[in-house]
Amino acid sequence: MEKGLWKRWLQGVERIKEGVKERLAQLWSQKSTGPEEWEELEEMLIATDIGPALAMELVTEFRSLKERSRGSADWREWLYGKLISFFKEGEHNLFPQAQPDFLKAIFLVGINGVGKTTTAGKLAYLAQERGEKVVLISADTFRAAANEQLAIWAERVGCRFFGGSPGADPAAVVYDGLQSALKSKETLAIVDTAGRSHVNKNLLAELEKVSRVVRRFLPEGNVENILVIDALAGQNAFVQVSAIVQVVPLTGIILTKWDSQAKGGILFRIRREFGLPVKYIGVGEGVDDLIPFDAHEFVRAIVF
Amino acid sequence: MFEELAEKFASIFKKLRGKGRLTAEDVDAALRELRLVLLESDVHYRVVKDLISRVRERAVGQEVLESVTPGEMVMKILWDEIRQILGGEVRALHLPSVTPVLFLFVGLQGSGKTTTCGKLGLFLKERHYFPLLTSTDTRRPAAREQLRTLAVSTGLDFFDLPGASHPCEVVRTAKQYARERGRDVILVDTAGRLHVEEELLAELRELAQNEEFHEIFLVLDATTGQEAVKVAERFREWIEPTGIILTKVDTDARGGAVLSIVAQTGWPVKFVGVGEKLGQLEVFHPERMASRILGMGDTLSLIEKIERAITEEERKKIEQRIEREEFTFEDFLEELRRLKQLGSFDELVNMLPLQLRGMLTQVDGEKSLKRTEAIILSMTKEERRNPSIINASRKRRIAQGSGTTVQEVNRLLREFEEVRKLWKKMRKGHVFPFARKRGFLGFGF
Repeated sequence: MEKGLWKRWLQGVERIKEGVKERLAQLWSQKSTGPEEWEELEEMLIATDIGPALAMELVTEFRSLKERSRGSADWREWLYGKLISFFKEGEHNLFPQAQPDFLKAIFLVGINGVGKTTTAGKLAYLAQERGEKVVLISADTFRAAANEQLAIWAERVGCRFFGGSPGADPAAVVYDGLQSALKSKETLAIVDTAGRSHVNKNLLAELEKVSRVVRRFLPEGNVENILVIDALAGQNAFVQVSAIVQVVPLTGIILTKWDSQAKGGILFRIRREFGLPVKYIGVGEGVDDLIPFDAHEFVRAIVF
Repeated sequence: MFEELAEKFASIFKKLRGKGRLTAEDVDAALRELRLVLLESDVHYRVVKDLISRVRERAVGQEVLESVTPGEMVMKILWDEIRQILGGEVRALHLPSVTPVLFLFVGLQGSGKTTTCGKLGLFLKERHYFPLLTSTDTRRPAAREQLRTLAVSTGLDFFDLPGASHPCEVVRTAKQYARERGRDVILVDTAGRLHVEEELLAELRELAQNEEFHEIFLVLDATTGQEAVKVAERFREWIEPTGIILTKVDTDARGGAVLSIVAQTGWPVKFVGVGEKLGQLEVFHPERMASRILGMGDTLSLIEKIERAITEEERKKIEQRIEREEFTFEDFLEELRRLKQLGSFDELVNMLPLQLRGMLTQVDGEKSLKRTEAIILSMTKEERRNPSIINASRKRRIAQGSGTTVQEVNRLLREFEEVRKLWKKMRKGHVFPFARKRGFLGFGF
């Protein structure tokens, strides 16, 4: 991985533990701790967007560990174990069970403005680098200039673009797009969808339809249904997932705008409650600003 | 929006219901849960702390002991505090009588600046201004194309200077263009930037120093988490926004971000974006929002909307009817049909207080409206005027005639009775008829 990317990524991790680690070390060595101090620790954790329930859980466990062991245990070990238990080895790999020599598809969903189109472009770039033949399909027939935006990305990356006319049925566009991908023997289709709010029933139904089209075309292992989430999102991201999971069988998450200094703690909560693996992290607007998520590196960087 | 937050509030305060007096412990217990709810809703932890301690201070002690219904008291205090955080009064758009007026839109990537720019353009156009849209965004692919498309679809003028080397140049030239073409408001869209990209923020500052902007809107995504406050604070180091436009409010199930941002910055929220369509921009009303958060429903908005749909004459007719306390199924049918004109069913339902909403959303909205209509149409004129004559055999006939079941007919009869009571209350001039119906503020106190 390129050096600059690493740096930005590590900076992100620094932010998560910013202050929290010092505080933990301090509380650990302290003889007695008042309730306000515990509450303060909880607030520090909440500020990372991991959610109040998880924050409370961490505080309680930390506290009981401290009281039980009277300082003999290693809290770092506990924290590492605790955090790594959220993830599974190698889960960030795309298409773990893909049928080889057959078209694969990445289906990107998420609400407006989280960076789906940009992510589609970056994914296309990475795949091209790996030697895949990529087509970018835009199923966003609603937003003004969505087609153009993705087309520009396709040009940048050097792959084919397929889009429908404004107002067309997205499902039909995706159908045609996948047909054309099969015909021109492409190996990976990346489908960008319109951003939709998870409260709009009709839009969710439409999304379901598009997703069904993709799934009907390809074997199950060859489809990745990826939810794109903004690192700045709070517990609301959690609500998004709950709604979208009803209509699309999600297989993973890409966290964008990691360079925003948001702490993105929501990642832990989503990982736990929905079991969705994190695939990539987006760290900028450049074509290669997308890093495969490595849980071990991630947790190690937080704890040590 | 805010539904879930409101739902949780409702369940917490149900626990406070039915007590004659509130002790400090009661208040504390409720507030402990309240703290969690607020945090869960992405309200910033500092804001939560503040809010809780203020409510406690006001709730525990004299005020509560003297009050007849303690639960009501806590609710009121809470509503008050939230409303105060949200800014108390409605803040109007600053539109001085100079030509052209300059508006600037700044914000993070993906917060919805471009769409909001188009929405406000349409908003102004509807109020007989001649806005001009322009963009200084040279970074995001097709960003300017997006704004152009929006402009064209709404019949607004769009100005583009593709070769511009600096945002200032775009604005300068746009001003000239506006004067020549008689455009009176220029809406300047900018490239999205993170609150940590100092170079880009410096560019914004330069822009703001060179030109006098009459409004600088920070466009903020309502789905933002704990980081929202930091975003606002960082922006403030470079540029002083005059107001916030909160976007994606329709997506935000909880809406805590708005509370934290306003509490921390004091910037007024001027508009809220409530959907993907260009017409879906609303003036922000702190009072209504506060009511909504607490599950009282956006009754004010609803009443306003209804009033717009009812002409003066019709209103008189209704008032007379209410005077006579004769509200029949014929009127009910008329009301239903008017409801349909108001907008989508879901939109309307969202404005109702929570308890009432639940009742309506159990069945699929639009469909149930149709069925209701069918049932009423299957009644005889006599039955419509005097529902009390509807006995079992009549019910069977009505059900058969409308393709529904007797249960559905029964339910409609019950609902009709409720609505009739509501109209009676309205007659007595209660401000929150829907809320009143279910006890104070929809909580059954």
